[in-house]
Amino acid sequence: MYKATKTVNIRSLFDLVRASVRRLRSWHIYVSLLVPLLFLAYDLLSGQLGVDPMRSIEKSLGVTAIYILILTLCITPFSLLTGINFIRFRRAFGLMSFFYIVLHFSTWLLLDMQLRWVEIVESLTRKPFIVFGMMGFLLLIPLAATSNNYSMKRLGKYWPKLHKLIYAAIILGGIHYLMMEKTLQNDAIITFIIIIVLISLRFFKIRKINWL
Amino acid sequence: MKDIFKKTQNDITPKHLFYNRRKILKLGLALTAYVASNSITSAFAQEMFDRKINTLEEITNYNNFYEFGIDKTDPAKHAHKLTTSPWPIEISGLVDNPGVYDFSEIVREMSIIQRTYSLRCVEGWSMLIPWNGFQLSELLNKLGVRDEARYVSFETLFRPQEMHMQETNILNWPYREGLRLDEAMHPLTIMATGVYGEPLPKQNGAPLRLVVPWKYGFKSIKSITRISFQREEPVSSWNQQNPAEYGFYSNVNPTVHHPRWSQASERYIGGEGEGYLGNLFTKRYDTELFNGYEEVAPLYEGMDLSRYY
Ligand code: HEM
Repeated sequence: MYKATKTVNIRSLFDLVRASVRRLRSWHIYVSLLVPLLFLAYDLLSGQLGVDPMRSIEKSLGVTAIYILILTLCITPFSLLTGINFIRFRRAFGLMSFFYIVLHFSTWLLLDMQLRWVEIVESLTRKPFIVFGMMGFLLLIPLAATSNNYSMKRLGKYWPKLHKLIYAAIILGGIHYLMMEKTLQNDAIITFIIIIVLISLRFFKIRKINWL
Repeated sequence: MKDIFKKTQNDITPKHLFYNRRKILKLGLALTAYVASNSITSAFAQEMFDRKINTLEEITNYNNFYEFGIDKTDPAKHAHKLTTSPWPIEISGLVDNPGVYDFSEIVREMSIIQRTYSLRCVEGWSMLIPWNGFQLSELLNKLGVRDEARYVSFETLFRPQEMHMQETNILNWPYREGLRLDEAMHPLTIMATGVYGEPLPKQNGAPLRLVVPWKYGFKSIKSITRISFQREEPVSSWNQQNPAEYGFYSNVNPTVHHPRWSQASERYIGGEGEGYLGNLFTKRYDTELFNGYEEVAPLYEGMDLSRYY
């Protein structure tokens, strides 16, 4: 008796989630992922970014980018595990993380390095943490460029292969994060562990959990 | 102790004056002369730098003091836990007057001076800070350093109950630094006891810290509790942690490559405009050898600065 009620509750909850996800549209995702940018703008205007706002912005954009990339990696295992199809939103997550990386890179180029090309070239070639970040960024460019229906059709069976580059890109981003300070930071270590776990999941066959 | 700070308050270099930095460098000797008169007049100070002196708010909210956290805003959040009085300082090694002296005893004996220096961090940023304090040479002369001593070493307080990062092993605590004796005796080298004529805020290294303006900021060790004189080159914490990146000398040098940050230029923290938004657009300046304090060059004559970095 008791058991039966419980089952029904979980099932109805689950159905509710499934129904709301079905009603979600991609633009909901795009708009929601702009919220971190709004928060950042608010923090800047209300003076909460401290005495060196440029550095706070650069860091915040980098962290947002890497966490949206991480969410992108969560989508497939999440969909497989729950049977809720979230996969159609993968593109929105991927493109939004690319958007944050472009902002992150632009902040570096314009506000941090201030277009001092000699030092920019030196950094891109001789500062390992920048080199790793840049490699991650470069790998993501073809992915962003082919994140549309036309490219998916044109590339056919090569499209999924090409998009496996996201694993390399996110690892490079994670290394970039690990290397940036004089000492290791806990946040970077935790982020890197999350990345490794999510990638390792790809080696297991995930089965849908029977919720009933 | 109060008296000293009161006295210097009037002599403080006015805020927000624009200075042509190059001029002070040439006036190195004049500076030494001013030490005798105990103040740098504002007329003199105006000639000094081409950027604003940083505000107290900037100076106290952007600190590298890893004992209190890695982020530059952490020291402002956590340094209040530090007890700075009493503050015994142990003097040992090759010196005529070893012993344990309290900070208040020492500072009472010293002639307090004002110095506005550029602080150049190895991370590629800089600030202009109006210190007050005394010349390290004055202290060393009083202590009577023996002829055999070639180096002086410094240690930061070790007290994990108040400095929580000392419970981690991100560095080999306590923080240690050192100078060659001639560097320590140089008139530009000071022990700071305050900024803007007030006692040092805790996040800036209260009650007593080193300031060596021609070296990267991490050489200017904070909250000192031990000073010792020795024959051998002392341990320096960052050198110990990563000898390829941080040398014992760590003189500011735009031509010595660093694997993380560009040393060719520095971002001066503190924008052209007022307030937080003004600080968004920080300007980059070319970094100069010895941070522009070229009068220290004779100390390194004949040394290969790319080898002894
Ligand atoms: C896959 C691409 C990238 C990702 C995921 C990424 C992510 C990050 C993250 C997470 C941070 C750390 C923020 C913190 O310390 O809290 C960061 C900082 C930084 N990134 Fe990136 N980044 C990427 C590409 C780049 C590129 C291409 C550049 C420049 C060429 C760059 C330059 C920087 C700089 C200068 C910092 C700040 C370092 C400091 O605070 O001193 N990043 N990035």
